[in-house]
Amino acid sequence: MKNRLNILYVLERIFNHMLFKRTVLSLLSLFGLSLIIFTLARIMPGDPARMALGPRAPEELVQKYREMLHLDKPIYLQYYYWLTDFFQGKLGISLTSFREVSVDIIEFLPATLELMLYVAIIQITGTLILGTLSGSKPGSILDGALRVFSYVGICVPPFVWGLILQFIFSYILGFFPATERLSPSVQVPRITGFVTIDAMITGNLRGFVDGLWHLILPSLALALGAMAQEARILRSAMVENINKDYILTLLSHGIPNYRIYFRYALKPSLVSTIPVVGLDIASLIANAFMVEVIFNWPGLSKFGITAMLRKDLNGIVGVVLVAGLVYTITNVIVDIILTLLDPRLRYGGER
Amino acid sequence: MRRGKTSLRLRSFSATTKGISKAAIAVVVIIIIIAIAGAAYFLTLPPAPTPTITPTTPTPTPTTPTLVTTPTPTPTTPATVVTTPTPSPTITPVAESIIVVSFANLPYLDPHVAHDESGRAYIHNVYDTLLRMEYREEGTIRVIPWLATKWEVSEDGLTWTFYLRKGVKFHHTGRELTAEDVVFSITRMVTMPEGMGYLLVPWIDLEKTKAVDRYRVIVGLKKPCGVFQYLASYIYVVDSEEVKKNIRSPGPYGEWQDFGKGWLMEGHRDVGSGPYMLVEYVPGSHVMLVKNKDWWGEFAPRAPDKVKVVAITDPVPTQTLMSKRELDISTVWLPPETYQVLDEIEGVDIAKLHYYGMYFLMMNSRKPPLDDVHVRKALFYLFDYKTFLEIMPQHREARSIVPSNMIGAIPFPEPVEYNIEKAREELQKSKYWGELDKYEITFTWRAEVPGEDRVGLLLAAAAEQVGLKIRVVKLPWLKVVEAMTKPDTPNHIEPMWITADYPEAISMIYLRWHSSSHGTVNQNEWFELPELDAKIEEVLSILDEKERLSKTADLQRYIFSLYPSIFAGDYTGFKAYQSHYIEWPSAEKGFVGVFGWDVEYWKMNVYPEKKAELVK
Repeated sequence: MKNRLNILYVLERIFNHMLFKRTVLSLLSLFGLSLIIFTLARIMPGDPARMALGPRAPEELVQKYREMLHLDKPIYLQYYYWLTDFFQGKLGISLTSFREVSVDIIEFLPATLELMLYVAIIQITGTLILGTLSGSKPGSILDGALRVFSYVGICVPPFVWGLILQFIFSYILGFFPATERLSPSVQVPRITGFVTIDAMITGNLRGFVDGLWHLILPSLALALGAMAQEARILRSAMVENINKDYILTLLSHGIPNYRIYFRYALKPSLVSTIPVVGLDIASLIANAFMVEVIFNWPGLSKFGITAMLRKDLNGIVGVVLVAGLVYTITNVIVDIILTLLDPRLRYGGER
Repeated sequence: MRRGKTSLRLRSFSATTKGISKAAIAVVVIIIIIAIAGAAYFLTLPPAPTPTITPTTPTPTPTTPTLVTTPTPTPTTPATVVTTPTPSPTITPVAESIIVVSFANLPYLDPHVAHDESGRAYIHNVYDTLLRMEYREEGTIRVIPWLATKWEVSEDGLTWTFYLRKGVKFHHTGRELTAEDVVFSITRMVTMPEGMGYLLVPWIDLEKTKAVDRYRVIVGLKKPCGVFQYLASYIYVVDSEEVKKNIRSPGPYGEWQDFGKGWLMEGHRDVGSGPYMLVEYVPGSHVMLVKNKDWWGEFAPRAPDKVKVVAITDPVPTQTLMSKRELDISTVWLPPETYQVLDEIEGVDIAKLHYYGMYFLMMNSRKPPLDDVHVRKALFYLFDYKTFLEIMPQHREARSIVPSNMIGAIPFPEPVEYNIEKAREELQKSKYWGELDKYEITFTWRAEVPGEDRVGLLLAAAAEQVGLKIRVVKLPWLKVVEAMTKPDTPNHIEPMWITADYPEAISMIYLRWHSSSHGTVNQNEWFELPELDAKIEEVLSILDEKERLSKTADLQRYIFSLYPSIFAGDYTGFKAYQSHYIEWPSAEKGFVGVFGWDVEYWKMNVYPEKKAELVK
């Protein structure tokens, strides 16, 4: 009896645990997302079978192709077939690349994830430095400069940053390469698909540096706008927090100011900034399209848009699901970080 | 609280100073890391290759001297004796010999699926065909022997016999190409006519197509075809054993399942025998080809060892890469002003490529008021042809209902000009005169084609002067394609570039006005004229070239009398290229021909040592 109670208690703890709840909710969201995108992709204009086979294929062949893709069946049956395949690990054949969508995702996802990783590094570092500096001295020249920078950052879309950076640093100054992930003379064997990581694993310094060199401009292009916006959010939170009583108490105890700013004022200020940072980074998986085009970056975002333009039903659903999954995982990570930053959230409190 | 704030402000200066100093240190550290990484990058760079020219003993190209008979009764193909070229001293470059070429997209890698510019260029260089169309300097095309060294046509025109070249090897297996491979390739093209196979479908009789022996193929036709020598230039031969090994299920091609399409599209390797072979395919990034040193044909002395195909269409990256010499040939799809900018880069020139292409404003003859020929004729006179050439400079004046450089194209039977008065006269003859204000004509322009709206507005402004209302509507490409599948589309006028597949005028006529094009982007007229189809089919079946061209001329006069489209201009593609270190015959001699075939890498010469001068 006691044992059973213990098991029940443990189960209750698990079910009530935030991570468990989040996981269940996330799975439900992904299921909902798959339904929505599956339907949306099918009501878009254009005949996917015709798009796949080209304008010159005879109608009988196109009809056979429709049957093969189950496009002649009602939409709920189509979804049933898709779901059955999904649980067998198949996402269907892409009408863009004519191979399994999962193969395409494995091919293109690492390039975008690697880009996201470096964008995250630049974005988080920049946000922390700029936000803290301007928040610690509101009204200063630096603060004013950041305000202008953030307005510009919000107004200018990432692809324009891409064009500007490419024009200045590649075309005029020639510091950075203009396109692609590696120079033609550099080879890095594919292990994880992340060029810099693969180069490190194989001990290829030249490959690592070359990969990094190619990553800087597209990462900056994607990071600048969001970084400016997030630095403003951090700055506002900092200004609000440094006027609170506990800071005054700390000051009265003679604790050095830099410790107050970077440790006691920054930590609570991050609670409002981190969700925005997380969502901005997660959104890159779908929003990096133009930047990937400009830098000829073989990423998932570029593949996704091509799939949409060619009405590649399975490609669209696959890419959107991956984007949803990345969003979900990012949200969970953000929640974990927030609970570490703010103990109240750990005990069921609100943000 | 108030005192607290004051106190904080009083102390904030020193706090910020300390804060800044920490942050400043962090920034400095990051900069140092980047600088070290940069230094390491440049230190680890291999020394620039020193281009040296080493004269080597020439190796004669293993071309077997073969007598090629003139195929009867088509007199266009001259009797030629293909002989082993006289050995001449060749120069072997030591520096990397590579050409980087950009298209709108990366090619489809299945030779029987590829059909757009990029795909056509790819298969043209990687796969061999039975015959080949070669452009001459004076701007005409001739059919030359390729895999077939000679060919014969039966008197009834229903049986074509091709004699194959011996010793042709497939790229990756080294197996000899035989008649069985040709028959398999024809079967594959006809069974899955998604690429260029659509050209063969109306003609090929698969039951009568067979391998007679290892080097002889008989191609049986359902009906006589006077242009079959051109169509044979589209029979891309694949390694049948390799394809059969990689067939997957399910697929829409009956017993052939997916016919190996999935495997070929994944780009593991090619199954061809042409001058270049596929060695790397990075989806979304590039396709890498290398020279096939065992190819039976003849390379230019400094033909590139490697060709990298990319898809860079944006003006800024194109400009950057061309100035850094990382891109050698641009796409044809850049805005006109970008070509001006590219032309100013040292060592870059603009190639003008006269494709068999034309910009048509296609009028739907089933939608009132365009169902009246007088209204269509009035629109002919309402189009300002000269201003159009200023808006879209990649065009030349149209002089025929098909591109005027095509064989058999005749001048317009009557002058085509911008003339408001004549337009008004035509409208007065129409049954809609007096009630034209009840109709609104829609002109669709594609969202993906910047500047096309101006073409619509040009027509609309002129039409307004005679009381015709034209509404210029923006539509995404997908919507346009969908709208054109049905005759009751809401759109009256669809502008479209159409390119023909072989040099005779009938190629464009068939593509544009035969009823088999209904529902495709090649036609918006939707004529219900059985006599038009019959006339087109009759011309195609005539074996005698002189007679065929004469009938083609009559056909053009007949089609003109229907006023099907506004013939806005002949299409000339612009491509920027590195003329300082690349010799590109198509650019230098003025290319005339099929879209995508202007890049024949085996005929180009590349000089890495000259490139090095510019990179310095």
